[in-house]
Amino acid sequence: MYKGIILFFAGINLIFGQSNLNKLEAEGFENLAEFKQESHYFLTYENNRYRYEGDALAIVLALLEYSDNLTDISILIQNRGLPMTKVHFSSQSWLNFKSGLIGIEDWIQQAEFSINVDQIANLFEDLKKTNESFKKFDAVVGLSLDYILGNYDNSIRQKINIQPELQSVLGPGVILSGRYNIPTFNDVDNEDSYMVMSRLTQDFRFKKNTFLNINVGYFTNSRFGIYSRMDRFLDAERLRLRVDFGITRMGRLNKDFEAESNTINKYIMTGGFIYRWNKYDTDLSFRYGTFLGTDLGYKARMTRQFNEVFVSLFLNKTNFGSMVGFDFRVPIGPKKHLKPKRIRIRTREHFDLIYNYVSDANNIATEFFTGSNILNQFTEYYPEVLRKSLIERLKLKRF
Amino acid sequence: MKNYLFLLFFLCGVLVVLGQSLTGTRGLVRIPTADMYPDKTFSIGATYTPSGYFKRTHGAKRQQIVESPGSNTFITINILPYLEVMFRYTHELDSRVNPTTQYFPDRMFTARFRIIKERKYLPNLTVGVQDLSAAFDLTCKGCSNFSSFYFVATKHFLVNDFKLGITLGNSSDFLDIKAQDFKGLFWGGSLSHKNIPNLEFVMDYDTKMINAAVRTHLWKRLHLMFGVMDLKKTTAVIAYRYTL
Repeated sequence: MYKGIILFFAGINLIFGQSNLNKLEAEGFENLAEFKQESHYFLTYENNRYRYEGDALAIVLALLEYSDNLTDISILIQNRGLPMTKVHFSSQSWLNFKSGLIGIEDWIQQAEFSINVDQIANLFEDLKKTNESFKKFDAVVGLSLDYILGNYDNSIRQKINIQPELQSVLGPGVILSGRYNIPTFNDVDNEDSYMVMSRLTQDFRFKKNTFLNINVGYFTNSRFGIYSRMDRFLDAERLRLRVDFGITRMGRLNKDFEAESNTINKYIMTGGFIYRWNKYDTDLSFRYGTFLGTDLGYKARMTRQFNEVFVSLFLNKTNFGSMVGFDFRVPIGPKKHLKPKRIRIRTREHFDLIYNYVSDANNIATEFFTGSNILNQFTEYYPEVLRKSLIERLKLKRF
Repeated sequence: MKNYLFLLFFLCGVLVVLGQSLTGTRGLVRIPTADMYPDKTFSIGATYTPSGYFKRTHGAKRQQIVESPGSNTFITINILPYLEVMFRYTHELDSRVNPTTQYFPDRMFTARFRIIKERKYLPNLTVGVQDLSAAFDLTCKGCSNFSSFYFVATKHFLVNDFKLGITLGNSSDFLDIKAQDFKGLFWGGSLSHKNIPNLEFVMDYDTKMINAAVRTHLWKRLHLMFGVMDLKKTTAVIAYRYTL
């Protein structure tokens, strides 16, 4: 009933905000919808144009237009058609900021950012979305680097992998993707080109900030099978519980796309938590369980997020031994991609590098990569991260 | 000439001097200070240690001073406002990596934690652990070449138009790991003038010798230091530094 009333008002007021949808669509934003409920304006969008969500939100705010009789504005940000974060503020405070009466910090303080989106997501559920992101194809070109240090005959062995990838969001949370690996400058091994990953993944967002990600297909490290991850956020983004379960066997598609596999299933079963230290955009995580090599132990990790740059220190300790190291994730490629069309070519957004500082043995707490999902992309949508990036961007008028 | 120098420093546009030591962490010439870079600071750089002062890290003459010059290449990050971490490779410049020499650059990890932040009557106080992975059973006990565990305090003073920084620290063994880089009391100081804040004179005693250097920070990114080790042989640091 409540939803029906809202949809009625939404229908009446679609004309009012049409220019916002047109402008956002022209800018390349997707899954757009809006409605007005009394003096409260609601807008939802998904960004696949800008590399960083903070940039996208700054652009949306800059483009936003509304009439004087509105008092409140709520924006719901989506990823893969699923709701992620909401932003709510009074229209007066935004006007005050734009006219220079208050600073960006004051406006941010008055605005509400939250990942508790159940209520607002319901309001948009039955609305038709403009410029849907589904069934479009992204041809992504990426690079990865494998290396081995320490041999006396060739002290720095390297392999640069060119990794073209094709991916499509088929529906809310559903992605089909395939990544081909072409080794070049290879003095690590004799690996042929092959399909390093081809998988179908489904993200679910349930009520009360519970998420589930399920993957089926071929993953990195030549694994074939099913892998799932469930996260439950407690106390918003500050604390989340995480459970992983996967059954895989050796399997891969070779350079001729023929399947190669064995029948020995291996299990990954882990549970743990991630604590978010919002003040410093830092994740402290701990996972305990059995890993791919059937070793039992834990992984402890500290990750500091500097906008798009991630720096982690980690300790893996299992009955195979200990491993300590660090890794980096840095953004690469342009900050703004082409507009999403039926087929779009773009660069991969990050480059990752892992360094194992000390390691007792190989294969300590080994895992494989099942591809991106909304859980490993979530930190960009965290309220505190969006707040800080808006302060940086709107202070500099970088929109 | 004087005007030209002022113009140069003005163009460099930097208000403060922040120094990288030969070790790779924040410090004076060789010794660490208790100061921290601002949060999110990332540095990547290299140092030059002259011949006669470099300690071999492998083979029969391990831990002995050799005639080869050396170099440290490092990455340093202030991962928190009060936590600085550094990873470094130590290279013997005349050695080649091959099966005959069995040489490979030495790896080292350092973490520094600021316990007290400088206030009117209190200095910065920092504790540092350097190359101590063996103490946590992560490498073999005898593998460390530069292990050190230290407390260091730094206090800054304004004297007329000069800024003076005084550093005093002590390095010791940690558990059963012997201190090998510094051991005992070390001290040093820095001096800069308010009109040329991006030029600084530094001097230290690193528990073995006295070193001195001048250093500068250009275009908000480039850190350079030129000095003399033991007041005899040239040493240098170059680093690229920016805020993430």
